[in-house]
Amino acid sequence: MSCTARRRAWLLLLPAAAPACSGLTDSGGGVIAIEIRAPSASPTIEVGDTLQLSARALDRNGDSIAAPLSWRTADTTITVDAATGRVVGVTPGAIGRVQVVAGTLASDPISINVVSRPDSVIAVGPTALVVPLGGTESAPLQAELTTNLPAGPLAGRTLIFTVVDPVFASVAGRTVELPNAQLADTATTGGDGLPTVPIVLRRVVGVAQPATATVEVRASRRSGAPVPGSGQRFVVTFQ
Amino acid sequence: MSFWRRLFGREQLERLRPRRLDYLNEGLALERQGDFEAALTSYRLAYRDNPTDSRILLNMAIAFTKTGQPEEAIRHYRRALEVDNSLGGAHYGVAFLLLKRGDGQQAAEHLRAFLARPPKGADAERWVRHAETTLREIATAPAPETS
Repeated sequence: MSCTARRRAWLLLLPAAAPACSGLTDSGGGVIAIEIRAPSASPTIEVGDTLQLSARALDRNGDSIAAPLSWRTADTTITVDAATGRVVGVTPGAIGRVQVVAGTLASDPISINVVSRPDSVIAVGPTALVVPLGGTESAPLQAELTTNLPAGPLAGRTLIFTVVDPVFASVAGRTVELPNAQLADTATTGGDGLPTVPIVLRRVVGVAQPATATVEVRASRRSGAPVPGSGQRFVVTFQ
Repeated sequence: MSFWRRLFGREQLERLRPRRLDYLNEGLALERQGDFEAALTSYRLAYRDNPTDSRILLNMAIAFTKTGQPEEAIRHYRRALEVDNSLGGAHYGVAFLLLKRGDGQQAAEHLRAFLARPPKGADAERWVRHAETTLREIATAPAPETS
């Protein structure tokens, strides 16, 4: 393989310690580069979340070569299993750098962003609301997203509100609605952990109203796991 | 319809009100299973429903201690003591966290408060002895140098 071809291959990869074709040194055993595979160039994980990295050693032809690899980090913001390359987020709001080593050759570090993990969804304020006769919408359905580390509200994440009762066959057949004329709506949390835009339940004008409607609030972690406290419900009574 | 609704409205509202679970007990059960993160959520929900219940804050402090967040634990112990200053468990717990942080004087105050109202029960004697021993150690420890 030509030097240009090898360089092109490395563009897809994270280059090893030697940044270009010239000056490549053999770490012993014919390894001249290490490829790290990550989900993205700068992956993001939540505190306590795991990320599996993988790597392979390459010879001067850009081919895989059997070589013992070990993982390391000098940062305390993450931990990495030396044998498996399994990374765990530790400190939110920080970056952790991981390298993989083969003999005397070390890869360039890959940076991993660690962000706060949503730990609780808490419905705050009343969860039983009444829309008086003549009124069109409920008071805001208030839910707070919080994290344990550092303990407090979590901004910039998503809360999902869904009308779970009555059950409508289609959005067109709805008799109540969330903002944007939807039966499910998302809200981004602000610095106080509450939705930046109030989420209210409205009557749909011109159709028979249900006596009550139930709205569920939930949130997910980056892994897709539900945030504890998801599934709390607001019951809105229409008078 | 309106008449009947008015007649039965309150009862209907009561029936429809979302049922609040016993979040404190749920949190305690989760803690017993070792799931302190989920327990904290339950305690938060319990605290939302009962913001003057110092036991909830005390349990949150314990959960924060177990999840390795001593500063949050201290904050919650202090909030518990603001609600109920006679909470021996909070004085005891915060004392040892403060001591670990190097704040011997404040730790001693909390240990004295704990010993002023010693708990009763099977394990109480052990805690009391430990508090007394620690208090003596604080008293005999050299004072920290001040610049």
